[in-house]
Amino acid sequence: MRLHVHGAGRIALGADEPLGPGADRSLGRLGEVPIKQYAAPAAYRRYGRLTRLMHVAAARAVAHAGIEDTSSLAVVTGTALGEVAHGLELLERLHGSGGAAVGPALVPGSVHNAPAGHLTIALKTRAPSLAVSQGALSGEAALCAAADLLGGGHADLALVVCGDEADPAWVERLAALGANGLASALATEAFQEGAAALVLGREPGGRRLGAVGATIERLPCPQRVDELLEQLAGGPLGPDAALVTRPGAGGEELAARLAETLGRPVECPGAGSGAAQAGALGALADALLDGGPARELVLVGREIDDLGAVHFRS
Amino acid sequence: MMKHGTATRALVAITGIGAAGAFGPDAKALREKLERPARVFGPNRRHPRIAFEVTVGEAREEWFAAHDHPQLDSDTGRLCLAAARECAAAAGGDGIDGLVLGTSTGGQSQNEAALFDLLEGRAPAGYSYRRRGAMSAPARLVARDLDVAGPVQTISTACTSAANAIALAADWIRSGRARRVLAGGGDALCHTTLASFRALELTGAEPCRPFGPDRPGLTLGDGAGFLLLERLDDATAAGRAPLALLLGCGLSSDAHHMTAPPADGAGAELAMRRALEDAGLEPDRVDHVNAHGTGTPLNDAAEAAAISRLFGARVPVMSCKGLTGHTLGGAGGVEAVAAVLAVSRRRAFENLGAAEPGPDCPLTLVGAGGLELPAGAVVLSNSFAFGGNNCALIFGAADGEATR
Repeated sequence: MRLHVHGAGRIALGADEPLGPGADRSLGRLGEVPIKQYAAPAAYRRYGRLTRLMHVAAARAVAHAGIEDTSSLAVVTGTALGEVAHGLELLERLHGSGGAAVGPALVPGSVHNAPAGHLTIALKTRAPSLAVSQGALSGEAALCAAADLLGGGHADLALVVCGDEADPAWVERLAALGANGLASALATEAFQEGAAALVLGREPGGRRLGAVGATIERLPCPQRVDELLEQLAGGPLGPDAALVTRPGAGGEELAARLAETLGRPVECPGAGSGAAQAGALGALADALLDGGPARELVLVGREIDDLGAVHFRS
Repeated sequence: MMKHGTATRALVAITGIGAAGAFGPDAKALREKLERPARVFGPNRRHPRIAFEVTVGEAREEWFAAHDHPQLDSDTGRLCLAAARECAAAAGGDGIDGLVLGTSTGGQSQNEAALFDLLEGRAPAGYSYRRRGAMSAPARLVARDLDVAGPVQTISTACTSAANAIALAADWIRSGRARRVLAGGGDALCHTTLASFRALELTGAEPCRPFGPDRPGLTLGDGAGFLLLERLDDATAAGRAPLALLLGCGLSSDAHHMTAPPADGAGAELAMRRALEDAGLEPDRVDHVNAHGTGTPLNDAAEAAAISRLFGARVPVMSCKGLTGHTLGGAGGVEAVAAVLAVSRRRAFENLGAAEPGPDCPLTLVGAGGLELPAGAVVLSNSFAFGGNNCALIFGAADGEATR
């Protein structure tokens, strides 16, 4: 199914945000999230950090698409980790009190669809909302779920937002727990907190990006390298299509294997400037916002031994 | 084939079911308990760090799937595996080529155990957030165990997770993205959910009484439920008799509040209306509603308002939660299995816990002994969640009038 991109937005280190007070480049952590520009205090005081990041990216994408009436906009969010700081505080309070010290304010942030719920309230939309999670492939998974909602006739327009937060206390706990692989990954520049958002439609029509005909042709999310190779080899890729894998999690090795088998160059760039944790969704937002994408682009991500791929054309 | 708007689309058949929870280790146990209801609740035993008394529906340890390294996988993952294995067996040698798993806890029991070890000065053994603690860890476990050859998706929309997973899977079947999809989900009890629902003052000291007068609140429970979905013509060609058809799915958002529905149940009504539209049915064609019915004062009153506006008091209503407890992200899966059983056995099951509705719930509840449904019965199953997330699914008989 072909999806038309109506607008894009993001919030990430190295993209549009000044570092600001409280930023920590070594953790890929932004300073204060500029939520005050986009939401009323009564709303954002209930938000965890991830919801703030997603709200900013979403508001920028909606504005970019020129959408004023958001009441029929479906919402799909993707996150690997959820509201990390909320979750950690809840567990630490629970441990110390047997549950008695867990207050109601911490509860909404303990579900992965907290950002999606807050966004539907902010956008006043009665359209469907979904929240998906697949580690570093959460961006790809969110794009696939949005394609399913649009293709299934559940909505005409969908706001897809993906992101994750960098929480110093959580990274410290992970390292202490012996989850050193993830803790190390989170402490490198390959991980940057942030969020990216796209407004997608079944039909063209965005005021800006729609005019240039940016589209996503989803590749069915393959689970294994041989499935991906089969799809890419037999698929409708143009001769000038760029293939790109994401750094980390074996992305470099995957690029080499794809290049050898397909007989064409496959890039694996270093950490990008955008919302790296938003995966393909972030990379697409970067491509659209930083001066126009390649004519044809296939982005391949990896999470343990699962793969995800998104096929984009301008 | 059936009409959908102006297009003709494939019929989605349910050819397998699987379930596990406090009610028992499989779908047969669920059916037997639905037909001869008895409370399965008791005190919290599995989570000794919880310092308050709470009534729950706990599955027995032996009902979680057998696994080589049970200490390494989460309770939710192992409970999902038990139900998924039962469901996938219906596919026989044809195998599964898609999995959509809904859960609100994922690998949280592993995260809790590791963090509590750390806080108590012990070294957590074998902990891996990405492989066993992540929200997507149960889907990964099930996909690897069943050798799923195709797309795998985790949906985490709190208590609608499994219902939304089934709705998404129906789209996969209709679009041809996959041929045999396992869809549903599960949640095992964990410290986080026990403490959270207490903090919101939603759990009662007594077992839940859905839609009854003076409702004490909800009762949490372990639970997982899965359906095997495929095109009706594929099932027929393979010689698999459909248990029911999934006729329509409706999704909506309340846009109201993170943890409470609007009093008029407007978002719930919209999801039901969208499911009816998706199925191409008028409200009077629905014979029975398997309600979300958590047993909390606000949720039940809002859902009852929505149901009575749409169907009047004509349609018999029940909630599974008096039997299963509220199985959170698994509820939509367990209740979809119950709805399929209602269609295939032409029976509306008893609303355990309340024979008569409270004054704020103008409904006709299914009483003791259940109720026979007409041939070709159509059953609607509701699921609602934090975040104002709503999903309604409509099931019908494979040879029913609604599918012609």
